[in-house]
Amino acid sequence: MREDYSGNGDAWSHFPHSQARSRAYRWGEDGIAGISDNHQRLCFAMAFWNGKDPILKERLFGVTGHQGNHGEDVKEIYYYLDSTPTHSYMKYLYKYPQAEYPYEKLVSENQARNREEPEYELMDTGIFDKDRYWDINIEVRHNQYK
Amino acid sequence: MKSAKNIQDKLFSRGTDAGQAGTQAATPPTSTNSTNSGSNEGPSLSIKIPPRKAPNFPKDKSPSAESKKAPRRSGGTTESTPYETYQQRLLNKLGTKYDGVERFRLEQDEKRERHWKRWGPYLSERQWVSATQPTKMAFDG
Repeated sequence: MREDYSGNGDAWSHFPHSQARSRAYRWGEDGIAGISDNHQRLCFAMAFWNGKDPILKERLFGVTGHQGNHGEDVKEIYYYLDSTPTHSYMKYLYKYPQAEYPYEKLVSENQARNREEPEYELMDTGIFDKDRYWDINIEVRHNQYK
Repeated sequence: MKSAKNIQDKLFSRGTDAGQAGTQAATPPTSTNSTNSGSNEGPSLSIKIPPRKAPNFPKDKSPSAESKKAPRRSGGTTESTPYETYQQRLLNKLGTKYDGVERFRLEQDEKRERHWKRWGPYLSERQWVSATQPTKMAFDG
């Protein structure tokens, strides 16, 4: 969940994904493969666009605690592939579908399922059929020759 | 909206020559072609990426500065590069106290010689912060 300064304490609905691109964060940060300094004063993250979506892919998308039939869950496909203890090298993989991202379908289908049924994941939407996606490998390393 | 469509076409290779953007061998489609007078779509969106050169590591900041003059060959290396790798130099410098380059970095960070842990990942999937800022933002009533 994101920041909540609602009067009623409904953290899930106060700052939804649809508003995340338009509102300033006050304490915390998101992004894809984000890195920052230890005080999170300067943050770097990746953003992508497949040319089909109405919004950029700037943050991972998921269903909230209210929407998910098993609670909140990120509905994306990504992997942390490698890292060192000092984070001098890190590798991250994000699989970005080329077709339009099914934001509404993921929410509505998960809301329709009850808790006994399995979750409706991104793979179930068929968006990765025929392998029409990009493998975005993000590698970060420290400059040790400073 | 037509210009946005043009940009989309150029970026996603729906045109015939837009697919060559970014390759090293092909010349950029229209940007350098001064005789192309038929196109009125504006500057080309292709990027000319120069061929990758060998990395140019500075040699004067290595842990063992004396090794830069005559590159030593530790047993097993057959490369003919003009410089030793960081790992090799560290191995030469520490000798029996060598525990791995990452262990060396961790010790450097603990001794505050170099702040390796200053930069790193943060949990960016979903904003995992405390949901409420308790006393500052809560509204009464």
